[in-house]
Amino acid sequence: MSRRLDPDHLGDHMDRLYRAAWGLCGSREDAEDLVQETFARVLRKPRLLRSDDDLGYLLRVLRNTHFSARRAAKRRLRPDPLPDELDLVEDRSAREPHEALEASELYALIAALPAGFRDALVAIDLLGLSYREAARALQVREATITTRLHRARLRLAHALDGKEEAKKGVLRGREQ
Amino acid sequence: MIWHRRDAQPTERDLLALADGSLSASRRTRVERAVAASSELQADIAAQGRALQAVRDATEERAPTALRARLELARDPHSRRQVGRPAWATAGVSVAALAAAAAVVLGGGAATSPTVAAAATLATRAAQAPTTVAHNGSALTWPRAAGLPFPNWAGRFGFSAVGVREDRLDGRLATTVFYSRAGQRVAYTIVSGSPLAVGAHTRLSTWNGTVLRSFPAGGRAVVTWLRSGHTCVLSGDWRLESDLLRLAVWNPARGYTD
Repeated sequence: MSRRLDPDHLGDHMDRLYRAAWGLCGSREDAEDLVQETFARVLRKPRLLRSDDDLGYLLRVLRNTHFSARRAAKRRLRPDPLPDELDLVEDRSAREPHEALEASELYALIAALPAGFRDALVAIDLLGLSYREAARALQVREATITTRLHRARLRLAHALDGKEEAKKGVLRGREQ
Repeated sequence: MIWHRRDAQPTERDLLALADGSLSASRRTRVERAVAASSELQADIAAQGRALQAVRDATEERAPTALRARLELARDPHSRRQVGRPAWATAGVSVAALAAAAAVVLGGGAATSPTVAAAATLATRAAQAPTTVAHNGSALTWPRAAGLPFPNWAGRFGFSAVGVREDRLDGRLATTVFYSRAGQRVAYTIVSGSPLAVGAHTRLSTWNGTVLRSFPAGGRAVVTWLRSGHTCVLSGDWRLESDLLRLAVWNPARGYTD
């Protein structure tokens, strides 16, 4: 039994999709564009789903859109975005600059994980899907998701430790 | 590190669940005992804990208000209705003004899509390049060629150009230059082609024959007028509305006497 995806409720998933997009892209600006393109793609025609899992479906579209965009980006030149301090929109929902920076670093680390590990972590830890939903969305077995998520967390922890050590090194260097 | 003997050693799934707190009570005691007996497993759980804490801290990140506005517009770019707005419109800043595109046309030209409201949302996007880089780039080429240079407000008003972006609105070129002054940001967009439609609820002002229309959108003030038949859209924080009007009519060669 299939049902139609309700466009009026897409916005309910926006925050989570935005974080997932950020985890895939590693850049806030790219994440915004990716979410917009994903929603535009979904809204282009009526979507029939065979389960209640809207979020899993949207993750699948998000990933496909991301891969398409990456392929297209390889074929064209692109200027670098402005740094964060030149963010041009006053957004009262935005976090403090130092918090935003830490988040930027984390999402960049997530984006740098091997694709399979990154996708598992994005689906489960960022998006909040169950193992079963994640396996369906990513079209792999649940056992594969488990292994990839485990390795993703360990790699991310390792990368965070490395960042922390690097910061301490910089501070030590300044003190000397 | 995979355990197949379910009762003897924790499985990988057990370790994941223990770390993120989703392990069932019936398994928890046994798994915790196994972890307590193994420094390797303790290190595993601690590492997962660090990663999870960082991810949880980052899940407070919310989609920016500007993205919500863009998505509402993407959902219904030519909307002329005020009812049945999507649920996400209530979650952020109201952007009803952006979606309302009644057929009032600047300067009496033909109504075309997209709208001024659509052009105004470009100001809420990030710049693609600093103006120093874009100075000789393609983004600023067509406005210069059309005799529509972006103004230099640095000397008179203290607004310096800090970034530029180029978009296409239904196939038309739209170039936006971002200006900054002591933390205040304004964006100036020029859209090529015939005049764009604006919303019905706009305030009308004139200055030496120049017709300016202003309206609020998403917590920002938007001022729009025509230069050589092309649509100009200036937007900034709502408190800057009077400044935007002054900027719009200022002529670099003649000041306010144009």
